[in-house]
Amino acid sequence: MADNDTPMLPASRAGWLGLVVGALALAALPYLAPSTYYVELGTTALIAAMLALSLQLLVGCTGLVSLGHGAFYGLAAYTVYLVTPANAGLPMWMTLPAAVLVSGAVAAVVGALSLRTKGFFFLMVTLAFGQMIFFVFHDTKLGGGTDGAYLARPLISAFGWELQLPRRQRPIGTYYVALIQLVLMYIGLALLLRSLFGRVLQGIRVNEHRMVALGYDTYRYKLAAFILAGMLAGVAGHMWAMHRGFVNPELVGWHRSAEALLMILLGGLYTLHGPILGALAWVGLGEASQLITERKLLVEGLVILVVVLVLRRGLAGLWTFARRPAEPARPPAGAPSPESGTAEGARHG
Amino acid sequence: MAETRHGRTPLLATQGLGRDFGGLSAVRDVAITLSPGELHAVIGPNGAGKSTLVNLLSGELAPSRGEIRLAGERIETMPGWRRVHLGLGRSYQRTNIFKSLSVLENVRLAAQAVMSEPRSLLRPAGSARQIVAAAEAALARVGLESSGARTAGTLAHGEQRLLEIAMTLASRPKVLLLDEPLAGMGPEEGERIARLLRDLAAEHAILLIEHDMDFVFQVADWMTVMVDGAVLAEGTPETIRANADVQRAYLGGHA
Repeated sequence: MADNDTPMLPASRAGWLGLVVGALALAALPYLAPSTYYVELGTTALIAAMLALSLQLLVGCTGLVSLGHGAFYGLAAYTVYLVTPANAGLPMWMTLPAAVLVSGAVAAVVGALSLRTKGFFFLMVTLAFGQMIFFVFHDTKLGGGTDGAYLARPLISAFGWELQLPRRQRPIGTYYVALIQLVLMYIGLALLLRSLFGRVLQGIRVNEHRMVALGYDTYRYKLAAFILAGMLAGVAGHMWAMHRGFVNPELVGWHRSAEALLMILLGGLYTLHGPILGALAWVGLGEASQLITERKLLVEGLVILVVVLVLRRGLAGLWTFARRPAEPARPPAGAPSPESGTAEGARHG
Repeated sequence: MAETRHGRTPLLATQGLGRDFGGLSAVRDVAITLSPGELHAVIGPNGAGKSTLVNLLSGELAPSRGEIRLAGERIETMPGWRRVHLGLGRSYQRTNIFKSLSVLENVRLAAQAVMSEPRSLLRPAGSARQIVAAAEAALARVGLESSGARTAGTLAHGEQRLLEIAMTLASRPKVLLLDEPLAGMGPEEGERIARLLRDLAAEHAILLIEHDMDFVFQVADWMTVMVDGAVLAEGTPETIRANADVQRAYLGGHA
């Protein structure tokens, strides 16, 4: 019954196997990449995937569409910059908790206030908070102002042991650190969705009014999800600082939030792995369209439009889309499956 | 049954309860009581304020004035979700379920609301046996035990009404507020729910809002008639049937 009742996770063993194969393929990528440039591009994509995945906890799992999520991402990157002394990188086990705590603390304040509103107003209030945080970094010298600032990257180390890599292999090390964090984040969120807490979030997404009538203080659950999502965005932002060794206000701006929403839309709103697919596709698409044309944004926009219109369940829907006819009909015959409404739409589209 | 009425402290009682919408008083100075084991029916024409009354009792609307007591405790300013934990459960006139979730999950969520503790929230939902068992028991109570795995939105209308009641039961309420449970039901399904209600009345205090007069007069221990937001009359079904004002205002040729 557990799988049937958490539709955001793969329903079958084959589905889980697919995810494992996907993770192994990502793990093999540095060995297949023609140059370190592509390894670094891969790290960028993995970081985008973490950001989109963290936002999915709000959007796909709880039904909260936030336009301020990028702020927690950028805030974490800036935290790394602010706690790191010049020219001497700190160990990751110090920078990561610091970044995550700052993101979580600010998310607690932003969430506590913005979750008093709903729907469109929530969208606007989160946008306003995000822009406030953006202007803190944009208009003050706190983090190098509009130009941004370089920082000494965190070191991959734990318990006194430090991973020492020759300079040319450092991007590979960074790539794996990002991949491990992404995999752990997915596993953690999958376990969360299967928990009693996750079921409450799902109930809120489907029918919040009814959840209140059943006796749930939905505000508290939404706030917990908001803080957790902010902290996970912080993991992604920390990784960005580690990857690029550079922060600028662009990391905090609402563009970042909008981009993360687009990745979710592209990959699929109805699965937990959809945003990861969407982020990888988004970064790949940006790269490819830059190669073939100068009108990068136009190409990206067109592709997103087509995917959203044709595949209502996003790229993640391709799998069920291709496989659906082979599925045995659910009892009783003719009863549509949970999301058949959207699948139906996709077929016609 | 009516004898028990004045013998015990009421489970639920209102005093001077009122709610305005702009210039309109949807509910005016309503005083009703509900005793343990009683089935109290509220009747009245459309727009009499019956559903507003239920929304005031369940906490979906805040009263403009007056008080509500649940087992003696004042609850009129308490948020609706908290009232559920004190034993107040309600169903909706327009079916209000989680259509894209399974039937069992609908009821399981209702049971979880009152049974889970904060520190167990990270347990896998499937392994919280007590909650699942409570949900299955509530489904069995309304006769939907074999439909647990179905998607709630695919149930027939009557089955959705039963699910609605099962969700209310799963939170183990002491007081049931049922807003037109027979709405839109055929005669056979209606009979099924009628039997269920008689059954439930043995263990719960029930405040019932219903349009089907034959049914109401059969099952009610006590009745309140509302017109234009105010209480016109109250009494046993026999006294209500005989009341000339009620006949004029509402029952027409029925009684």
